[in-house]
Amino acid sequence: MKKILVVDNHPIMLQFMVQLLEKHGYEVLTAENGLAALDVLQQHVPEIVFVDLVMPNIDGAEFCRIVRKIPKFDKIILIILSAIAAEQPTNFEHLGVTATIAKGPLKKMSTHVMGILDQIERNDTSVDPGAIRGLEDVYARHITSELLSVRQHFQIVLNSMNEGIVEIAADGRIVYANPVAVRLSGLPQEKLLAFRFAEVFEEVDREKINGLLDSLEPSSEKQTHPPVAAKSEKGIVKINERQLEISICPLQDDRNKSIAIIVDVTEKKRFELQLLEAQRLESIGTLAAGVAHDFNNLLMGIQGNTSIMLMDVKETHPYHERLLMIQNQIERAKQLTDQLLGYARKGKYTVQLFNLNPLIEETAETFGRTRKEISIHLDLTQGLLEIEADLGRIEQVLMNLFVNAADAMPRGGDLRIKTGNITHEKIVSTRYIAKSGQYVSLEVGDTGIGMDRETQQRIFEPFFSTKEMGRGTGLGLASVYGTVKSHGGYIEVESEKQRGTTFRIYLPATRETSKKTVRSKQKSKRAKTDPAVILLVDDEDDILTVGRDLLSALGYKVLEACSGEEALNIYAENQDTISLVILDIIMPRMSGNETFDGLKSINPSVKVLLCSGYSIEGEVSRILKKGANEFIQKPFTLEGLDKKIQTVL
Amino acid sequence: MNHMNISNLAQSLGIETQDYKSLVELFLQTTSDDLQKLDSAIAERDPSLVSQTAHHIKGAAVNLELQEIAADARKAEQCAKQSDFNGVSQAGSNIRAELEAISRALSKDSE
Repeated sequence: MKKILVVDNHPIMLQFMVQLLEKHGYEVLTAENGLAALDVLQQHVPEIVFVDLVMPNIDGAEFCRIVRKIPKFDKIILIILSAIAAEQPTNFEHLGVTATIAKGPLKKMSTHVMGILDQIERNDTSVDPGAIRGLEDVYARHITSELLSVRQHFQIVLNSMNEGIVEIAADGRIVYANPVAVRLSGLPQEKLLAFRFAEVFEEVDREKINGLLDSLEPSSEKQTHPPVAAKSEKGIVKINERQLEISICPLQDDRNKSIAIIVDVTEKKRFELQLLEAQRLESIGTLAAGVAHDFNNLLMGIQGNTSIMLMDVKETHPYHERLLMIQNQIERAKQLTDQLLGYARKGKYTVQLFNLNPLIEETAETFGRTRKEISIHLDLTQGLLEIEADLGRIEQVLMNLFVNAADAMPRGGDLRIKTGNITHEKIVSTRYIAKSGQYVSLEVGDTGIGMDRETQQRIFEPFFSTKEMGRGTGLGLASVYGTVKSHGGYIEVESEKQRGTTFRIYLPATRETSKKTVRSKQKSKRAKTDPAVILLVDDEDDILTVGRDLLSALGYKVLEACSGEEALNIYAENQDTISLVILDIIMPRMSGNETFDGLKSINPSVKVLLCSGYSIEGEVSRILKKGANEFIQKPFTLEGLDKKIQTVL
Repeated sequence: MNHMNISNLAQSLGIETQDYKSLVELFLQTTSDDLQKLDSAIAERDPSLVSQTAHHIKGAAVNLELQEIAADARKAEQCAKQSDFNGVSQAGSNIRAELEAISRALSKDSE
């Protein structure tokens, strides 16, 4: 005996079909909507299903699509029995139906129903799924067309939304999901519909979802007009590594349904994390830069006095060598402050186009000679795009990474260096989204002791070190981070305890080929031998004293000013005799920048040598663009100062 | 509607009288519920809900060839479209009267 399932939300239709079909020897099952029909199919597999189209809780069209996607139901014959078939004489073949009957007077419907069944029994393949039986019995129903039009309108809106929309029945099962909701769930639609909403999510989040559903206020029986917006409950959950914000609100009807609105906030959360991280490191960077600046100023005092003493002390003097040692120590101290400034992204100076591969080969070879227990493996891509960067800084980056890797392998190991070209889409990171464009990738990996997650999160902080006291400054990787960021690049680390560490750096590539363009300032020419008058401007007495002594030792006449205002007054009175102004940038009340503007307004041709404990980025760079001639970073040696002055004069 | 009509209607539909009567009883029950919804829709001046409910009544009435009820339900739909809730109310009253007539006919048939 063939089994037939009848799916219709109208009880009269159900009863009519049961009476008709049982009379003709069929076993009849019924369901009031698509959801209930799917439940029936879990227990029974009928040969034939008659289905209405307009029903709550999964309509007929959706039901047909779901059935057609499930292999064990592929032999089920689907027949549409619906009033819409007359309103919208659409071809329903795409739903995988065998026949379509328009609802109308019962007698005519009986004829069509039994006619189809007869053809099926006879395996009559002439059944045309596109033809709608019963159309001739139905008169135009314009009102239904309008209702359908409204429905279609909402369907278009729901399908176009960026948010996932899910309708949840009173028993917690999904009866509708728009395309975005289906995609976010990661489940095929035929599985999603009739699934319990809470079970779509990971187990850890199900309690939260059930809590949201339970906390909804029950819909009032009496609807208000206009309807009052129901209070929604919100939460953040995870599916397939995506973070989703769920809002659930009750539908204002008598069926206790609810609507869930699902918004993918993964990118938003990533941006927030990125911003927090950037802000945190930025504030550390500002602190680091400030410390470096002040430290450089102190070093200037020591360096300047040392330089002056060296001028007067013969090489045979017992203190000569000690003074040279002091100078060396100052140079090493300056390298430390350079690394701090590098972290604060204030260290870029000489920019040029170059290919990373030769630099890596050279640096690796130099490094390899000093650490013979490390096996270095190079995997450098041919045709690597060039980058526009400070060669010295990048070399420092490589050296810092190599040293870091070697330190993680005290008994030797492998150091792997790899380069490649990569586009932004291929750069996958949880910490940032790369700006669009081409990049050069650099991977430096080791087989060392590795790092735990907590260490990885702090590895780029200045002064953070995993080495014992006195064995590391904690500035190497901080400097690497700052250099990479100042070049518009990205850096990330991947590591596991006892399994090694890999640093990945992505630097913006350029399609230009290097013309050996070095944009650093020109080498200094030989200075004029005539003594010149130099106005020295610095708010620190010690620097003024040392500076004056250095300049005097070089044969210059020095005028001093301890503030921007004083500098402008002195310059205004002596502009005809002053050949050069050496101007400190960081000064209270009137800054170096403001002082420069003042000098320019007195004499547009004024020559200015900027001076700072910071490096060229930021304020210095801005003033250079406005027309300042040169820049010298503190602390400087006598020779260094002399060269710069000669360059300007 | 009377005893003769019920049998005639059943015959014209090709359905046994008893089966038709059970369908009509079911129709009385569902339409009674629909009329309550119609009253609520009128009270709330909700033309969309009126249309849906009237449409529901009309579909069933057409199936059972209860042409007068079908006509009144159609009238209710058209009035809803024009937000003529008095018209809807009148159509609803007509449908109630017809349901009572059917109910009396069924009762007589059972005697």
